[in-house]
Amino acid sequence: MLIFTPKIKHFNKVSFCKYFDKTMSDKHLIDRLKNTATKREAFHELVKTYQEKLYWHIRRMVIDHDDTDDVLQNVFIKVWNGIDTFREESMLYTWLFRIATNESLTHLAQQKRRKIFSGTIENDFLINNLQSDNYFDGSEIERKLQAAIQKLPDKQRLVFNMKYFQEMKYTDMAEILETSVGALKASFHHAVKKIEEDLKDEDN
Amino acid sequence: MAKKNNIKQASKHNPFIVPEGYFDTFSERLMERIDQSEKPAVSTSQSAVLRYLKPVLAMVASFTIIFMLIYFPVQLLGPKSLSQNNETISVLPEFMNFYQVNDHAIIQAFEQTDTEHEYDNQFIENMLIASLSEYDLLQLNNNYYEN
Repeated sequence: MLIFTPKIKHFNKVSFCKYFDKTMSDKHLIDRLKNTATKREAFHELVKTYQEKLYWHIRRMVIDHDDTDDVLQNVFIKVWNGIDTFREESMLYTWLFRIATNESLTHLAQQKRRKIFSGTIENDFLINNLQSDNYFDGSEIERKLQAAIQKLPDKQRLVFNMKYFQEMKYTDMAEILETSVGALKASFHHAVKKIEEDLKDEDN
Repeated sequence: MAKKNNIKQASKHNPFIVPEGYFDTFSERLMERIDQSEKPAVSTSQSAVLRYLKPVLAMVASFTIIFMLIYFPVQLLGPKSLSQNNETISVLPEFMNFYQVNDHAIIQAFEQTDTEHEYDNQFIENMLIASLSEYDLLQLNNNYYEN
């Protein structure tokens, strides 16, 4: 029980119980994932539990559905291959989101490298993806907002999406992105300012 | 306020959608891909050896081709073949010398005593018998007794 002490000091009774249940179920799942006999079944359970959360995390970054599907598959393949090396220093949820974030950023970097050769500037290809996306069903203002978000630098965009759409806590985000809460708050503040200015320019 | 209203107007509604049944089939598709990637794992050691050997073999092959491309032309046109040609060239001056021999040289050659080879009478006799006809020998014999 001592190992939970630093994390639970600000928790109330309900949130502690939730956290404890989650940690224990994750621990049980990890044990089954590390056992060859139960790995397949446990992995199926893991995919079913986290596929949607990770999909939307990746989708908001890479925009295109097919690209998101590729990245999501790569994330789970990394989990399948690397579960034995998972040292459980962080929560399973944090580890999965960290892999998904890194895979998304790697994918975007590769895309940018390819697009630079074809003469596309910075994140313009994401706005193009958004305009040609068959799986976008938003209003005009939502499209404008998404276009403004895509103009942000990757890491600022990541912070904005996690905070604004996924409503993550700064502490969880800090663990996933391995940075300080202060830096994340500043990043989110800058992102909001830039988006607002962009939307204002669009209106004029 | 107008600025803030813009973001608020957009709301946090998710404007992205996924193909129908995407999440229902994702796990199966993923497992298929994992199974496929693990299948060739049986021959991984073989393919790993081949993977390392490939560049080495390619390098050996290219060196062999380069060697052949250099060696054969050199064999055909190189110094050895030139030296063979030189034989004909070196023979040629001697042959030409034959025509440049003057009378003086012939006389000198006759006057020179052969110190290297000393021939006895028997040898000379055999040589004469072998190279001269019976008539020549008879005449030679007569001349000898007349003198």
